[in-house]
Amino acid sequence: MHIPDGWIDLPTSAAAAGLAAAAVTVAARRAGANLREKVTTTPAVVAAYLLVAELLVVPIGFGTGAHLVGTGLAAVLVGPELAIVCVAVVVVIQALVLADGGVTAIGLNLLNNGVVPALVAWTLFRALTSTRAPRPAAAAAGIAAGVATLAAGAAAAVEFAVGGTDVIPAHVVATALGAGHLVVAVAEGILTALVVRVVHRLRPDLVRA
Amino acid sequence: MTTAHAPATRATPVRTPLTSLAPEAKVVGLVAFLVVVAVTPPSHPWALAGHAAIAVAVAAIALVEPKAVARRLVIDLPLAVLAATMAVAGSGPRTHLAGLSLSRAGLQVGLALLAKATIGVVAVSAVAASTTASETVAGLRRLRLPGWACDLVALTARQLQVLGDELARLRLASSVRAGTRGRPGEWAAVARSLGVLFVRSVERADRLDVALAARGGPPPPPTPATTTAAWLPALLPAAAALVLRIAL
Repeated sequence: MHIPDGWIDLPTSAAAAGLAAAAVTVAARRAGANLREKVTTTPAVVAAYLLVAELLVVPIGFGTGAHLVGTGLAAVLVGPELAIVCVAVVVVIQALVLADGGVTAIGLNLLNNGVVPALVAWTLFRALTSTRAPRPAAAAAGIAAGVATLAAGAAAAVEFAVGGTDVIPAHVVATALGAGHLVVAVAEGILTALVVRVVHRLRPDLVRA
Repeated sequence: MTTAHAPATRATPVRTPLTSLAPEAKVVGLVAFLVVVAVTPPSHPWALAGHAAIAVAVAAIALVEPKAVARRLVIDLPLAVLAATMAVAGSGPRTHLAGLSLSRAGLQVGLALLAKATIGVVAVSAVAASTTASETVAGLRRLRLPGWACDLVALTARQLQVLGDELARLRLASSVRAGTRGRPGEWAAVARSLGVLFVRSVERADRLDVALAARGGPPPPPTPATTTAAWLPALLPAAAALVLRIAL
């Protein structure tokens, strides 16, 4: 979920923007060191991939659907630094062109959808995979992406507790966000595992196990 | 570049007063307007109503298609649930509405947050409808965003169309050959398309690198004609919103 304009107060949003800008700069520098001349093309194509992938909706029942968020997938496939840079581009395009997510909340959404899930997914994926066998890698990617989605929800809950309204207690918001993210996390985990399995079968070199 | 890279906005470009404004002025004006909306407390409902009126007026001037806004307002649905939670579980004095006991403060805050999110969607739609992706990038460039970041956003915007078409072809091929066999089959089919699309995306990035190397590096950033004196009209909505915030 993207945080829209006006949900988190301005000081918190500004602090998040500063933090996110610093994280993206560090990530871009590290990704640049790894990629050298491919520094623009790969992140641009992966960012476009994430934006396009969000358009595919799979049914989860009760007339609702889920789509891939993709941060965990990107972290597993191209590494956390590049994933953060890609999600930064995605969030900026979504906010300024697609009206999805607030303009004043760009920093918050970058932390929730980019920095936090990318780092969680990558750490977990690295911890879970020690072999190059296809199923463990796909399963590990699925678990990592699912937990990363929950971490994103937790980050949003923390932001709401710091800079949100105080008419309802923070634990009520946390519960609502947690319940919503639980469903999304399961869907994200299953989809990520299935996609990683396909990629691993076609190009095993692309899965960073 | 071929026509495949053309931005997929409208079939025919529409000229409105907003299309002639400099993109950097529009971006700054949009952010300023939304900052004023964001800092307006829920205790000023009339100011927020005025902000909504400004956003709708600008969207009308920009000839935004109502259908496009309606589609984007889908993001309001989960927020409506959260706003309802605030009204039910909020603190303070209660009010009775349609047989429900609701928190007055929770109701006010929930409605205000819903209004702010909607104002944001309408305002961004107005700017998006009158600015192409490449204009937005040129604006960001003139706002002194790092050059690599601007290149990245520009290239991403171009690749969007290409990958979107590729995905449509993959989906078509998948549905023709396999069909959908229940929910698990549909999930597997979507995952297959996404996996193949990722592999093709990486191959595409490699081809782009080769093309860049053949040309001897990336092209110099385009320098579109600068339009002056566009700041005043672009900042007008934000100024009007600020006046409303103070007056109401």
